[in-house]
Amino acid sequence: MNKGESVYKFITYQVEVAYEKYAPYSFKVIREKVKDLGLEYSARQYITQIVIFSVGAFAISYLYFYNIFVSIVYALIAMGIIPYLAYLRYKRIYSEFIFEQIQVYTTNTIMEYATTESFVKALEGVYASGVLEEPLLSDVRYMIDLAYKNGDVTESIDYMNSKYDYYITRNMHQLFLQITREGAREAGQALENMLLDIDMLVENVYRDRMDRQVFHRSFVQYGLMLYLMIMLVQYLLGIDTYLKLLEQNVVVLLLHGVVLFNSLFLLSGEKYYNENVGGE
Amino acid sequence: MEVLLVGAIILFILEYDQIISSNKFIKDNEQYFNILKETDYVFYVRAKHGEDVDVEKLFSLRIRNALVAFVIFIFVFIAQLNFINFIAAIVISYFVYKMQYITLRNHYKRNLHEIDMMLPYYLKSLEILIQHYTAPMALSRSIQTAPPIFKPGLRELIAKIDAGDSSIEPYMAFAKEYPVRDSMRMMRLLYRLGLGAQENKQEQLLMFSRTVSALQNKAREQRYKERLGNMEKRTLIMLVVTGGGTLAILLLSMLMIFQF
Repeated sequence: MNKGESVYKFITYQVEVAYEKYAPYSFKVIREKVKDLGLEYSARQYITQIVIFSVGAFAISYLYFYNIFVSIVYALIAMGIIPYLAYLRYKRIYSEFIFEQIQVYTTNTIMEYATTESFVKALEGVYASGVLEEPLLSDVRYMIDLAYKNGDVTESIDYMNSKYDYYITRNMHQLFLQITREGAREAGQALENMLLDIDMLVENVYRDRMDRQVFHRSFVQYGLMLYLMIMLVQYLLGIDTYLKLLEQNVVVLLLHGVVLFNSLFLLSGEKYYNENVGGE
Repeated sequence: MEVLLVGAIILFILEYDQIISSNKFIKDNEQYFNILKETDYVFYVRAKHGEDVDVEKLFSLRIRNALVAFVIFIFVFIAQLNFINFIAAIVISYFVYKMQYITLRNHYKRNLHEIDMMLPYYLKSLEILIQHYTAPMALSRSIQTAPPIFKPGLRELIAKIDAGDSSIEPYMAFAKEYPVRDSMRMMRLLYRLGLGAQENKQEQLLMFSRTVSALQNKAREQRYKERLGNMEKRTLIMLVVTGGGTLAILLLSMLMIFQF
């Protein structure tokens, strides 16, 4: 093993130790799921991201301040943002995954009910069919166990409603609760309508996802291009005059303000994009 | 200033020793103060604080604050008390009195849109209940899971129906209380659903269901459109702030160059 490799191993080991110690439990669960889905960045991808962020921040800040020390600080800050961005990305992927699982759960339960004509049997059918993944799979198992234990589905439904607060699950559960209690009087059409509602919701969510992706891409492009506006200033003023201006503390402060504000706008936009994936 | 301090201390001592009680004064004259109460005040209070809030307590707080503002103003200008100052004291206390109402109304207006969005989802859950129960029964069963803002209105609606009012009036009263998009149309539909014979109910219900689904879809599309609008707004703000900031620096630099 050469020296470079051992340094790389040492750094990744230290990062892992820090992660195990400080990362919150919910974050670890989400990250594990993203890993299972095969959407977690590899170490190589993370390193590439770190290099792009630090080199980018260094280059941009150098263009602003022509000061290596300031550029190093900006590069370090940019690297520090990477875990937050990863966290936002995990949250979005996890929410999208849960929503997909919820629509699979509701659609399949309704379809299973058409053949079994019993809510619990429909749940068993969905559980055994292999279409669900963790954590929904265990939750459906838990629902079935609770229903058998109590001889009633109310607690199972309450459990699922509290864990997955979506209108489609609530509506479907309410309908099945009524069917279980009052009998399946002309429920076929109602279930058919519910399936159509789910189809419409899924269509809307996916279309919205694509629209938001387009908006997000142009948002990031604009944000990055705005950093480079300082080049226009330098072109208009001339580099020597610009360097002379950098001797004025007010100008340096204002330039820091521009960089920080633009970064904050980018971060808040990123947060907005990754939160609320539109499932309901 | 001294007069104000002495007055405040005297008032505090009298209130502390329970020789005078502002609460008792407000309570004793409740019927007169109630004349000042806006007709929609209770609705706005419940819209913001939920059903369990003590409306009367909040209202007496309004009266007390207005009276305190009046007394303080009079004390401040006691040395040069004239008709204009007296009118100013009344205007200020009226403003203090109105402040809570204005805040509550603004809160409602800010959230009206959210309430607008809630109606289709509530109607969807109601539709499921109507599969098995009559419309009034479904309404009363839906109260438990209804969005908190609709609960008082629903209770009133049920109470009127239970009292024997089988006209469309209770439904319309509900729609007027919650003047959100499509509330009139949906309440009329709901009323007709309650009227129809049981054999025709299924057909009516299917129509109701389709209308609610369309409404839900419309609300959802509106929400998504707003989210995209928000992202667009963020992009614009970023362009204006950063671009404008950079241009301002350019202008400032030019000014500095001229000074060199």
